[in-house]
Amino acid sequence: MMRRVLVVLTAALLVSFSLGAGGAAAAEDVRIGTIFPMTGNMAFGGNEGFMGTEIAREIVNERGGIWGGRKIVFVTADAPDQTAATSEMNRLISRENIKLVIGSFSSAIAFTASAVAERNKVIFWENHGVADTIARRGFKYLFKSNVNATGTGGGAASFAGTSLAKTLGIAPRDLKVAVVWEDGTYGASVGKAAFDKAKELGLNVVANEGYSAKAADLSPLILKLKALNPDVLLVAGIGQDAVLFWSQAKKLDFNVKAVVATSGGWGVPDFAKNLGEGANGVFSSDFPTEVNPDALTPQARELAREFVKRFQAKKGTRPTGNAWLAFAGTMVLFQDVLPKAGALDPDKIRDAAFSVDLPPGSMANGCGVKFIAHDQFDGGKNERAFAIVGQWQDGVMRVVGPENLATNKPILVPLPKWSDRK
Amino acid sequence: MIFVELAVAGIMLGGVYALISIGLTLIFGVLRVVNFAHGEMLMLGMFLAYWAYTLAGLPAWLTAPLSIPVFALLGWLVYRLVVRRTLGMGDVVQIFATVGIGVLLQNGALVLWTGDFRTVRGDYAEALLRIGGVQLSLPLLVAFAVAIVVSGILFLLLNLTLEGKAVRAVAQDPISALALAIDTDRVYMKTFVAGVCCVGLAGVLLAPNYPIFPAIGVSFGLVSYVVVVLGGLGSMVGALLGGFIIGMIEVVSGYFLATALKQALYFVIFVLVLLVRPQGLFGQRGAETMGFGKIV
Repeated sequence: MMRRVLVVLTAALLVSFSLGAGGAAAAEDVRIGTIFPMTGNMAFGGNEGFMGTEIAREIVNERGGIWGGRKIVFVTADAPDQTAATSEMNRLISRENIKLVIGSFSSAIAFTASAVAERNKVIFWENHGVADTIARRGFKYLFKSNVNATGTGGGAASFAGTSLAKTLGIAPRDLKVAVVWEDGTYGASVGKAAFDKAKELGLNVVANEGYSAKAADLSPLILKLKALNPDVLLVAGIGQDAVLFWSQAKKLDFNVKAVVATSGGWGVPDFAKNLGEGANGVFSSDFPTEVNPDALTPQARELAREFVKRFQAKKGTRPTGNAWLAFAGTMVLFQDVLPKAGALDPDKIRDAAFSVDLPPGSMANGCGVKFIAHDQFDGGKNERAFAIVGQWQDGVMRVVGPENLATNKPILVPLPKWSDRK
Repeated sequence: MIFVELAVAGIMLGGVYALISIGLTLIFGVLRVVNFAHGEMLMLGMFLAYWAYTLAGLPAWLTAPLSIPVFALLGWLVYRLVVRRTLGMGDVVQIFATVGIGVLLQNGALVLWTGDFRTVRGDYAEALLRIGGVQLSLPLLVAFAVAIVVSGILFLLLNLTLEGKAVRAVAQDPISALALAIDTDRVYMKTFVAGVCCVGLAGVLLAPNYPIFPAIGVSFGLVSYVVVVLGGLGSMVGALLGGFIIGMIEVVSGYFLATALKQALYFVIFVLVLLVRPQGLFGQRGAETMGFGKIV
């Protein structure tokens, strides 16, 4: 009896896995691969990124598909880590015969997966991974629709050195800044950009500390920072480490005048949901989300509205920066690149991508599109993607800068001490 | 001041690690099975505390005693369905079986509760104590106290009661134990259940202090293997002291060296211990091969 139950359970599991893998596609469908960390440590972001990508697919298919009514179907892959990214990319390419893969939420996954794509001359379309290194390997089949670490990390330091220093009434050279980053591909890259920019601006950098995002406990790091007593914390966290850091900061009574994060774990709704009131006031040099609609083209405005509606219907929350990147970047691919390419041919897709030239405000998140030629520095990156400054206000990440995109004004500068907050 | 804070943080963190490691060392000491699903069972304990708080408003200290029957049932099921069938079947079978349970639990949690992180909130979870200028989290202090009490009780049970002596007899030589009319299967079952209850309890008590998500067991699981090998496989005192040593190393090295190096340092110490004293600080030489955890 018990054995039979086990057999049934195993069969059920296998069926659900194969369904998850996309199922069989009809001959006329346009088959495109997706790779995200759907399970494991980064599952929260991977699922969100996939949802943004999926909504783009739904909208395009409902509005008649591409190439004269052909529907797009996804062949999905789950890559919780870099090892899985390699094997799953190989599966997509050699077994599923995929020519175009969309990814991937994580810099680490993007870094590995795009290398497999490059070797096989398959287009890798990355909407998230911000590590500068991804587009600095001279790859010819890589496109990156979003801002990179120099943009988010450097943006955090610039915001601290200019706007924040002024509001706090501290001269930039006296502003004590601690730069803290998780030591994976993402955090190391963003942390370095923040550190370099802070140095360039002449801020007083009192700490530059890496930590493992997989660490079970961060109290040693927080005690060290507490002893250094910085005015501003520039921090790059990737996932639950952000929640752990900020809740332990509260428990250990570590106070700063302002925190500027670089999106990642500090920018996702889970951060605000887990920390409640404690999240409010935290800044994030972030991916553009719901920007001021006046800054968008009419078409982008309509897409943005449709996206928010569908995302809320699916998940019950407003979309995050990650979901916006996935949606806006995938829409560029489906609406502006593939129709011009005319076929799933990597070389044609590449030519089509380079011919796209859209001003800021054309993407649903307010960015423009112009890819840097592959033989140039940062080849394959969208040079018209940028970071904004967001802030958690009453549990919602509001855009507070730059001015033309802002929907709200900054609050809680300086941050009250933990003992004065509820 | 900072040194007092560091010392307190190190001891508290050590208590956390010790609490998590007790169940692991107990199961290994008797069954000779390394439970690779240990971290995932911890994760289930954390989720239990989360749901008990979210659905019924129970604080973690109240959920803790209630978790024991739940985890006893889980331990019994895992023992009957899987672990019992792997006893005496070689390392590879046991490793794959327990790793498999871990994967099943982690992905089951992902399907049921998604990959989002969650936090247990409320008055108890957020309670802070100030003692002489050092701020301390109340739930962490409770977890620490429970670690000491539970390991003490287990130590006394194992050494003073007839039941405990039977457990130790089975651990040393199952065949001779059988000759003394000890039901080895029952002893294994009870020990496994006790070990799972320990880790479930640890999960519930630690839930207020850490973000909860399906993969959280991985980081804590890794530390607990280090603690158990350092302290000596199967030794209750070893798990306690091993926990404190790793906790102190982590805090002190994180402060004086780079934070990124703290794990590197305790792994260096771990390697040194294995070279100089392979049985761990309190383990018996050759414990890993002694006995064979077989139902006879």
